[in-house]
Amino acid sequence: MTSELKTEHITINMGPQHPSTHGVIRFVIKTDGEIIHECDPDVGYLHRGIEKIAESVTWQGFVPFTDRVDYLASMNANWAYCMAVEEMLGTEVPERAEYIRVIAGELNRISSHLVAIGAADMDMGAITPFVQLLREREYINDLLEMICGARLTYNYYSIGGVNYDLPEGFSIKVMGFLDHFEVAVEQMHRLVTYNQIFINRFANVAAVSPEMAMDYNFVGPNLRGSGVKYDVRRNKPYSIYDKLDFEIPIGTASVGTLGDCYDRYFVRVEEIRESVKILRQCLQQIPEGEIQAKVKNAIKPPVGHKYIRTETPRGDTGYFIYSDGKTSPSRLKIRTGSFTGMSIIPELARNIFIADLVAVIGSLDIVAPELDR
Amino acid sequence: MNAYFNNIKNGIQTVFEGMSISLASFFVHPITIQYPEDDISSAEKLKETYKGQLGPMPENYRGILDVDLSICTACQLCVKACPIDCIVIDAVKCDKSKVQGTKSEKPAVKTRTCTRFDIHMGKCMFCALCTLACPTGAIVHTKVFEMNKYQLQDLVLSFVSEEEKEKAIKRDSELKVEAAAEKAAKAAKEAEKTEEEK
Ligand code: SF4
Ligand code: SF4
Repeated sequence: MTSELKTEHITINMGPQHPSTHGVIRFVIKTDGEIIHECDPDVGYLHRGIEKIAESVTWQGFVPFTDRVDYLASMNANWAYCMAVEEMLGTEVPERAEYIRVIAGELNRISSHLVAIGAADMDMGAITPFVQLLREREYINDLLEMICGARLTYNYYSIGGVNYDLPEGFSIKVMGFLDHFEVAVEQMHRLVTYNQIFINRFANVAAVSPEMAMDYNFVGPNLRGSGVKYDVRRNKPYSIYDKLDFEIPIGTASVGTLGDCYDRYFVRVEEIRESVKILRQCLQQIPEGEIQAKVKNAIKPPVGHKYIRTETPRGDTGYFIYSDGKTSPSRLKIRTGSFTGMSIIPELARNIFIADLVAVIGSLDIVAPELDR
Repeated sequence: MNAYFNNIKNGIQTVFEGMSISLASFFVHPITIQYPEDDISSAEKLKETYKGQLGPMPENYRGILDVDLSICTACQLCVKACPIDCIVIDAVKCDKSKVQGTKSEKPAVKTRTCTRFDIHMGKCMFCALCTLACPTGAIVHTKVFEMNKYQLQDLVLSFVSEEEKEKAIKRDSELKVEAAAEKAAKAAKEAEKTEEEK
């Protein structure tokens, strides 16, 4: 017998309909036993041509389509688009509307992070935390339903403000929720964050160094997980974020190496806490007044282009709009965080276990519709 | 070696900690609605069953659309606002009247009436842009969300019945005749006038 056993690489498909891919994504994996030799993400299954749709609907009529770009954080997507059009029109959004926007956006950020964390847990085989976190998200959905009547695709932001004013008793309800939620976050820590099995699965897996994160154009919590302190809300403040007091949590390598899955996970947890802080401030400071600036019925931004960057739960989301002065955009481009997260997977997946690939996808918080648009 | 045993100890400890949280869930009130069995439209009953944990649907819930044709002025603003063209309106002239909308104090002037008002609920994405655009508040979202149908075509909601349509068309043609008569009379008068002047 020869001293060397020849092994052969097997090509397998993970997805498009795989329980642990977040949506319809396919990974073509060449494996050597349990070890991944090569991983090739195949995107585009959820491409709906949203950018092209923009060219045939009115400026205001495109807002509900931005809901569908990132269904876990539609408020933030609405916001980014509306802000881009407002900048083009030169519309000044009333202060109350800005506060409402921040409140709705941060609530949505919390709910989005809850799903991200919960789904990452579930990919690791822990079903309980997912259900528990989804329950908390349900309370947020109730709150958002109170203000706009929808639970997932809100279409709440309008060009120049918001569509509906806050209902009566809303701030009391949010305060009540936040008090309850802080306890729930503690509980979640006990349930998952400090769980030894969970730590062993996440720590030291797929570490991304700060340089590599910047090279691959990471954004949002993924970038901050690698220890780079960059947040559009702080570094290029928009809306009223410069008036608010909050921290930018970054990865600290508390249990593993800097930028590993655990760091990315933990940054999200910390961000939830910061959002709670922001919400409390906003609810105390929110002024009375108008919720909608005066805009013409038929919106026609002047000829030109604009690129807007906002911090959504999945990172730096940009809307590029090009107007030729007509009632619909001439070209619209959406730049999202999931896509940059996806592009690093071939690099990260080399020589790790198949089970760890699931952890990587979970910790990068990839949402398929946002990936493909 | 120490780290190894620590790891095992931590593993067991934290697992039991998690278990205790799961166990505690047995003693809190359920928060999942047993949907088709429980009537979710009645707030009282929900409160009773779920001990106040869950409320009923909010009043502003965006369910399927409803149109109050008596206050609709057939202005077609909702058609223009809809990004996916699921509203179709045909309108004819009608007797001039004032209608009181729900959105503003001032009554709106109605000169046209719908002979066809169809909403394709199969296409609608419940974005509320039409209800926001409507000046009178004639088109509104209801709290109804159960609308399973066997045929796609059944999802097209028609708000104008055949009789109403016929009536409106008949009235329209009468109005047209009247208007034509009026015009003719006017023209005759003009002609008389010019003749007199001559
Ligand atoms: S809710 Fe939206 S999609 Fe539905 S009819 Fe109204 S505007 Fe059109
Ligand atoms: S916008 Fe309102 S009043 Fe005008 S046609 Fe539509 S439902 Fe009727």
